[in-house]
Amino acid sequence: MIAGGVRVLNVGLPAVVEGVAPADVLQLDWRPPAFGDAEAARLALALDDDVTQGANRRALAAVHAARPQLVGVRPAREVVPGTGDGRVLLHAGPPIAWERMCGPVRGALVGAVLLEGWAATSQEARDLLAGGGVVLDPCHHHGVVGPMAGVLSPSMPVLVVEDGDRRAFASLNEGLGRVLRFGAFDTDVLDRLRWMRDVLAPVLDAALGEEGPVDVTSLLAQALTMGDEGHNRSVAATALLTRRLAPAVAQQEQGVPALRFLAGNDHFALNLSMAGAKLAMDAAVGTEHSTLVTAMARNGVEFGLRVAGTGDRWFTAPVGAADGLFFPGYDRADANPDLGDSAITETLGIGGFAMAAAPAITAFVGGTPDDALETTLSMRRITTGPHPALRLASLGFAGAPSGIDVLKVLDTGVLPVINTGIAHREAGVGQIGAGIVEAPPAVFLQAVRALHAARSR
Amino acid sequence: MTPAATQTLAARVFPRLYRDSVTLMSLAAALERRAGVTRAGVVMGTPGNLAILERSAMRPPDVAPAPDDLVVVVRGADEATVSAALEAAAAGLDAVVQDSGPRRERAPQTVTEGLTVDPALTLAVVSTPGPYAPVVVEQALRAGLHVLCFSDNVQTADEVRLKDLAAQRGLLLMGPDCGTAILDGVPLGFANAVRRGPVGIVAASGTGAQEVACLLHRAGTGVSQLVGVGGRDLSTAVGGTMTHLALDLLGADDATDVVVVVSKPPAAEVARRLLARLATLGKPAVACLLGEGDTDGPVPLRGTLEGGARAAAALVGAVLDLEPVALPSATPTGGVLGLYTGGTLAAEARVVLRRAGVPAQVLDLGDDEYTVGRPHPMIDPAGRAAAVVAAGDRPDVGVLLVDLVLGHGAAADPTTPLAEAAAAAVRAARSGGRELVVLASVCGTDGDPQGLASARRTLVQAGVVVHPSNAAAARAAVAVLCRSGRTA
Amino acid sequence: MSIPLISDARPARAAADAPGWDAVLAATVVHVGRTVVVLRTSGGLLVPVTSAAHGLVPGGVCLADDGDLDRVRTTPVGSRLDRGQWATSLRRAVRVDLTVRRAAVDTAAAHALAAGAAVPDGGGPLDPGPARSGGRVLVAAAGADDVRRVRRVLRGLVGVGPGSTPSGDDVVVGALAGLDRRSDDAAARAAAAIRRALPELLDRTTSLSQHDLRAALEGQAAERVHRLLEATADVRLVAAALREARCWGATSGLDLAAGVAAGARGPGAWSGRRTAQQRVDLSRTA
Repeated sequence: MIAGGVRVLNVGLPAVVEGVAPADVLQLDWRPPAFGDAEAARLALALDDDVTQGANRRALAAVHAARPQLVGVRPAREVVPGTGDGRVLLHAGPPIAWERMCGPVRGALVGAVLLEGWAATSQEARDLLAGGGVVLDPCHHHGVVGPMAGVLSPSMPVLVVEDGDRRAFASLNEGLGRVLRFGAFDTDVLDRLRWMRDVLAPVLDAALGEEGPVDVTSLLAQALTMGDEGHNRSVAATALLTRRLAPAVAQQEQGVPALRFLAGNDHFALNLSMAGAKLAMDAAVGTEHSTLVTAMARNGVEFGLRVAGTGDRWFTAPVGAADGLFFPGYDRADANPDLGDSAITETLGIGGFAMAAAPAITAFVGGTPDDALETTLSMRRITTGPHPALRLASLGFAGAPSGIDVLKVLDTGVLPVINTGIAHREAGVGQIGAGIVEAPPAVFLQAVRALHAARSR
Repeated sequence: MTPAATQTLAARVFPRLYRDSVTLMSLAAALERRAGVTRAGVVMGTPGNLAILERSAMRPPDVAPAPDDLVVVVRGADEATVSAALEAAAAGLDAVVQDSGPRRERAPQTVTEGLTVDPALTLAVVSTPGPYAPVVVEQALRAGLHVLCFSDNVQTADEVRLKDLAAQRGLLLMGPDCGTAILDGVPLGFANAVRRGPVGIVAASGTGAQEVACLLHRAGTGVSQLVGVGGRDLSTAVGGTMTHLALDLLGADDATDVVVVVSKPPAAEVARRLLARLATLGKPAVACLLGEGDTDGPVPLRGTLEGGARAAAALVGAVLDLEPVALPSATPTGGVLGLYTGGTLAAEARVVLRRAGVPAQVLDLGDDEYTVGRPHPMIDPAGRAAAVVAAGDRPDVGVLLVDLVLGHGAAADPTTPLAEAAAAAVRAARSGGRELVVLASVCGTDGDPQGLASARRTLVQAGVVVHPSNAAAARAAVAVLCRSGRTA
Repeated sequence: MSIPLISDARPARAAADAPGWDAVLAATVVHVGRTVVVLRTSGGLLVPVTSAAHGLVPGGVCLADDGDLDRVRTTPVGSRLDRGQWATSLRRAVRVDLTVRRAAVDTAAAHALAAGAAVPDGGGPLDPGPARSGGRVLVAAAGADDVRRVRRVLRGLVGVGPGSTPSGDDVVVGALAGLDRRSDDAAARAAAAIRRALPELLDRTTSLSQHDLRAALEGQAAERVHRLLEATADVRLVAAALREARCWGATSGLDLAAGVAAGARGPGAWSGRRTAQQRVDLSRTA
């Protein structure tokens, strides 16, 4: 009577099918969907139809078709929309008022005010910021992404990445230690920022004029085969970028100091991969009915999620500290809740999603190379498809799992894994460790409700 | 070899897809190794290749690719085989991009992942907590699976919606709260090892269907299919959607000669439609609607499970011959208490007692009221055993009526706890200067894992009077009370 | 200031008929295979990019290092090459003429090549065996200047067989190269007969095969075909050439070898019906 014979998918108690030949039973390791929220699971199922799937295919195709090119390094006020006049500072993550900001972001904002010369002392700067004398806005609202505090001021240089008429930007990476993105703003920090603004940026811009543009996807694809995952490890990408630009940089008057800086900063190319990922993900923003995640970002207090089908809307939830290894002398109690726009890399499918490419950093998450493979395989369960260019050698050159689908996150209960640095909770102490953090379930539950409401309208 | 005419041929065209010939040839070889596949070809859609496919009867008429399109052609035993092979081919071509390296074995966790692991699955059995069951059931139905939903606590509105969805797709949705089914000889949930035979059962009740099936087995005949539809299927809200679909399937099932529908009495309109459908089924049918009067029309109507089984057996030329059991000599002074694990068995006992005019308290210990926070008494016999022991201390109880359900899904040894509890209850009554008679029936067959004969023996040794059917046990209760002069 | 070239870096090589570098850099990737990445220029020309292990093909570019090809393979279908990365090495590429030149053919070597390529691959409707033997029939028909027969044989070869370059096309490409290699007039006439009939059949096969067939019409052949042609002059090279050919795709290498052998033996080889004795001789030379 049953065409194809009785071949059972058992969802629940094994005892219910004990009378069926074991060869004819596939037992699911079933877990309640949608993190136990049955109502959200229903909404997700209602959305899981041809309309959504078609929209997701279109959205992901647009993301994968993007070919970001690094074309220049320019002062933010020249190129970043909305930073040209007035006192505007950008920060990482979803919107947040000064009063609720965490230590590192506040410190970085103070440093940026001092760098711009809008205040003479740190106290003046604090008063200015607390009094609303500076417009504070998320980087993401301006096509920018910034790691950790992600603070960008108008005179700071940005990497300019473009694809046709679309652009995205990222600040220049300062290196490790006492740096602005961890909230430090002492003289050394400000001096370094001035040197980057006045010397490094013009040198790199000129070099790109000669040797550029640099194809970011191609650079990342190579770096993935050289042990980077594009977030916590960018040493290969930095080396490739430096090698590309070196002949032209070396001919500049300040070329050697610039090269020395690049040689001493393993994370320089992180900001490039972030800008590239931002440009790619922006291609999907606003795809009607799509449940594809277009941004994940943290401001040190809240985690923010954006989804293609709900445009510019943020879904936010409190964020915890990352789980990982701490540098000697520090522990979890010192850690600031997770911070930065760098999760844009995971949104595209690298970083934590491409752990399989970077066995060297698996120790940071207390794991083995096998765990790294496992992480990438589990991210396949929540993504829409493999990235055609970003391939992972250890998985037979399969494409990195790309395009997080809110519906799949709810169906599987698997949360996106994000590789991250860990900042000290006090401004200016700097990085105290590195590890992984999972996106909070609440943002996906909010998203599915909003997506469902949008479909029902 | 099966002649080509009875085989299925199908193709799939992948526009402008290039793959190396090594990939294509190994894919074709892999497809030909699949069970049921006779021939497979993976070629570029050039006129020359199409001509070759045509000559070897491998070109489906509706396929017209361009030279740069990749064509996969499969000839196989039936449509399911061929479409599964084509799916596998699509996955294989895609795997060139999304291949995997070393992989740890991990059980699939979602319906989608389960079907990826084994696309040949046909039926989902769902026993998740109730609030999630509608989600899982809908996922399974959308994926084209029949569903047996063991879960309860599902809203009626969900049941109506999901059964409509299933019926549109010609899929069975057995349940929610469906405890039993036997499909093509495969037992699911609580089911007994009954002989395969000509009687098809559609049941809106779990233990009722088990009792009818076991009695048919006892009559020497057997069961072709047992389709549970869930206790609410014949309610006014659901309207018998699945009962009607199941009847359609049984009507078309070659293994089924006679059909029995087992249910509590449905609403008048639903019952009218049911009887009308049974009358036009094209196969002899029995309506076993618990508590209705026994009448013989075009469709015999029976109010007990035993009556339904006997009528169905007669329609296939078998006789349900239940050997009489001697009444116990005791003359208890108390009334009848029924302590049941099977809900429909409890209902049948009430019917028999009511027909005899015997007032009695018959409890269904599987009811939600008694199972909050604990397993069903058919799975965990301890709760019912405790109730039996407690009955020994009740002066108002003279006759204890119990059921014992064997079979797949039931406890590994439900007998010992009941036997020990019954013996303890009898001892307690006796020490209180009273007489207590324990009457039982065992719902099971000699093929069940627990063993029918040994279960009966254990009960008898404990002083329990074991009857061949639940109705017979209830009639014995009536007889004991009559003899004690306590009937109304 | 001029930057000195690093001495041990081998330059890329490009076919003399490959498009200009700007066109190549502006071309989009249409196929990423194991041994070749195919670009299509805005003008519709295909540019197969290969590496040293595979050799240069007509209209294509051959990168010096196999690792370079792996980097090209990271470019997704539908995208362009990374201009910044490839511009320099492409500009430095050496142009190579892939025209097939006349040279002496050793009959025994050509026979040995034919015998090695004729090894059956094992049944099925898409077995390349019949296509390979079709090379011989094609050359015979072309030698007889039987226009209708040539056309009929070509229809049975063009676009027939598995893979993105069907076997039959490889046989035709090989046969033309083999005929071009010979210096006798009969071979030239036979080649001309095939060249007259082939153009109208090009739309019966894949874009990749069309590219190869067009090159063959122009007298061009891939480097690996040149290696097979060299083996027709010296029987000692045959075994190695066949060994290499077996590694080109699933069937492609031996298909080409069968075609080359048929062409190189010339139209005279099958002027009459073969006797059993000839067949035995053929197997002995193998």
